[in-house]
Amino acid sequence: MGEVVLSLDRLSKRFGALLANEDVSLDLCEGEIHALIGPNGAGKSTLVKQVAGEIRPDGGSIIFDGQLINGLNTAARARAGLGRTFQVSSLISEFSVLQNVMLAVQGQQGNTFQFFRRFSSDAELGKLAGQTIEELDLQDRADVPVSQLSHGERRQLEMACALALKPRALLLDEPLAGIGPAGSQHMTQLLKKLKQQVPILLIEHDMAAVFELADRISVMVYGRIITTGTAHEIRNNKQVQEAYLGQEAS
Amino acid sequence: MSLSLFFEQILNGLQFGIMLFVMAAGLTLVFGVMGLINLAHGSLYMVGAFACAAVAAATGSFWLGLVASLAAAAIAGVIVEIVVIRRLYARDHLDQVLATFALILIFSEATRYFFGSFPLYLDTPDILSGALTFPGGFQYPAYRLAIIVIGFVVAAGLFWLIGSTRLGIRIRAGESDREMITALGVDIGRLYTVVFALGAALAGFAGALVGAIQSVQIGMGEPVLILAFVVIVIGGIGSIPGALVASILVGLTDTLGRTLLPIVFGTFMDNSAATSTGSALASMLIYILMAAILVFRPTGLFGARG
Amino acid sequence: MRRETWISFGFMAAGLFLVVAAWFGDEPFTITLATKVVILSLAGVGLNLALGHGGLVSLGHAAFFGLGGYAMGILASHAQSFEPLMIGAWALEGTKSMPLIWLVAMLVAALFALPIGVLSLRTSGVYFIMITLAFAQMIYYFAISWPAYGGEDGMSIYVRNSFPGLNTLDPIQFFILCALILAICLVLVDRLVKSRFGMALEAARQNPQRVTSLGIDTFKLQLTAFVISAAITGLAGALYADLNRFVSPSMLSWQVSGEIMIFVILGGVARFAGPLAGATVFIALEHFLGGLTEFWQIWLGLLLLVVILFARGGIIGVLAGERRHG
Repeated sequence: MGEVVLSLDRLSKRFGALLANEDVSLDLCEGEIHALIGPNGAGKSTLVKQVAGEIRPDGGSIIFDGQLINGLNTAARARAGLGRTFQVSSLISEFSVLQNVMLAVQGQQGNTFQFFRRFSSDAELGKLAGQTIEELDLQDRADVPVSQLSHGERRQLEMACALALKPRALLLDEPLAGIGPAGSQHMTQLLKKLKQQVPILLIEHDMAAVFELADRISVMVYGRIITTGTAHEIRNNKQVQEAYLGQEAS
Repeated sequence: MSLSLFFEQILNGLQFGIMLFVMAAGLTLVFGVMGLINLAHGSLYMVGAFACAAVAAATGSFWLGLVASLAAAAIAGVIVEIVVIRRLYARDHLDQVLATFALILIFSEATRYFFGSFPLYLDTPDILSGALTFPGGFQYPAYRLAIIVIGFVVAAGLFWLIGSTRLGIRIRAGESDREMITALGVDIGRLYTVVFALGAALAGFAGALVGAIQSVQIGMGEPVLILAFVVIVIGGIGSIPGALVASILVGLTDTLGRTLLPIVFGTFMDNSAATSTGSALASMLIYILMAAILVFRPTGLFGARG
Repeated sequence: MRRETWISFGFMAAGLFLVVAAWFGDEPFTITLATKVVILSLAGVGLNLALGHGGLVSLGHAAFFGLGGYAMGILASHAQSFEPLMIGAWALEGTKSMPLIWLVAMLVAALFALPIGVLSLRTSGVYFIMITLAFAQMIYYFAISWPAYGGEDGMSIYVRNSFPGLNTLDPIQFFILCALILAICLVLVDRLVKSRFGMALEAARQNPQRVTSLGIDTFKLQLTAFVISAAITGLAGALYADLNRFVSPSMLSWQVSGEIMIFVILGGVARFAGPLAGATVFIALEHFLGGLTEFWQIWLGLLLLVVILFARGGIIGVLAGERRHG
């Protein structure tokens, strides 16, 4: 395994009486897909929000690229190289595909405060965005507004935006949800290819895909990570079978 | 400042505050249940005051006027709700602000058309025209005292209505879960009309009560409307207890600020400078209060967080 | 060119034609009325940036309009009385020079908008509408109870301020000056909303979560837009005070905030010429209906209701035959 890019150390978050995350520690290394699985309500979403910076942890630390990022807000974390996609597609719906990616390139370059030059004829933005769009096979749809895209295409576009940020790590929240078997196949291949460029923390419910993709899997139950291991180890782990897989099977 | 003056100012603040509550309760209910921001609420206040003044002048009875104010404002409320307001529930706040701003123009001009531009005068009823003497010789107008009592009775009635009647249960259900309430088989359109009419009647009632100590004129609703907004924003939009706490807070802050600030400034400034600085600051005080509260609690004192 | 662009330019050409006709027909009153339209449009152009493009529904823009007016009034009154304006130990000379007054008006509006924006942007939705209203009310009541500059009665400036090389008292010359300023602001704002900044602002209106996740601070975007918006409305305020040679707290009142909002919405939110169309129709109604009936505001109210309920997209939106957001 490569160098550690993202490391969570004993993260905790409590909402009133509900302990959403308790002492969660995990890390993400260069070149790997690390999947986080667990039953609904296990606290995966809370963890994603803490890593992305939407909610502040009550305790513990988040170290990204060798830096403690607890104090950074969401935008600053994105600028630091933490790319993400959302559980429910979150795009600029009146913008075209190209414009969405151009905005991402602009975010990556960090020069939003330019007031005079036209965005739409900005050759630099257009070129970089075009490359990313081609990488994701969206070039035929470049000028289509988001509101007319299919669900699968929106997922792809979200990936394109995340990649345009030239991230050091990707945080993907259920990228396969609701895109059908063909789309799922497509996305799985894409993720396999991507992990060489950028390590991925993957939250996913599709177990077949998780077992196929993940180099390591962590299992979260009731806000705690009960075990971390390879696909093989997780399949054969008794605790996991009882707490989670057994429950799914029944 | 003498103790009796201080006591008088406290009572004035209470009276001002509780009337703001009667006004703000409808506003906050309408927002909480229907998600509607209604600038024309001040017009319903004005409608109540004019109805009371007109009926009192025609019949000689303030009490009949008071009944008329409730009825007129409720009827105006129902009509406005059916014709205009119900088309706005699904719209964004911008459309609601503009459409109800248009309603203000229509109400004000229509009132001017029927009653002319001059203020009407509404006398306090005879039995409440004197002053009450407290132990210690301190005197306070009976009518203002009555308003305070009536205001708190209305507040108690409202808490009872919302807390323990079927209508109240529906209103609370409407605030928390709009789909649920249709699933329960409640006619949501009618519920909305009833809530709007209730809010309108309260506004009209407040207008009539206050009209007897101030003058009844066009545009009387807007200053009160803005204060009522300050109240519901401080209290947390949709919250009746929040509105009660905030309206008393606003009433006392405003009234005491106007009396106390010039005195406070007088301790380290010369007299005329203290008066002008003090009164300038006093007139801004509740807005400063509101801004401060929103900065620390962006959804108000009793508002849901987030 | 898109249909909306044609309509916008056609609209402006028609307006200019009317003014030229009034000039040849020697009707100074019509020219003054047109000047009023131009200045109020400018206030709307300012608000449109925050409200239309930024999604920041400010019900407090009268504050900036009035501050611009008072900046003009205070500078000119000191110039008129030859007494320097004392700010602490500083003595600042008054001035009757328009360019200087405009600069100060924009600066003052922007300086007030900065803290107001910082605090207001902590809230959203109705709370934002109300807190901007509250700040405007604060300034309104301050102006009423502060006696130094006329208090409730306001103050008059006896001679219109001057612009190098022009006779500003000549209606047509003052009109041209105002129209040029409006044109410059329209072009600048148009460039602005199509720039990187403007696109990010537009994106933040639609989906702040997405914009943040791209590493762009929505707060900084919106605050910048709010401040620029206030400065433009402040400039309009200075011109408006100069047009009337009078400034009073009524320029700060919440009805003015409502009216500026009406210009924007009546004309079409986030449309290039929306505020101009809105202000034109508003002032035309005020003038013509006001001539027919004393109760013209009833008709204005009804028209507004019809536009909001049935003609979404405002005048420009209806004419251009395409929907935009909202």
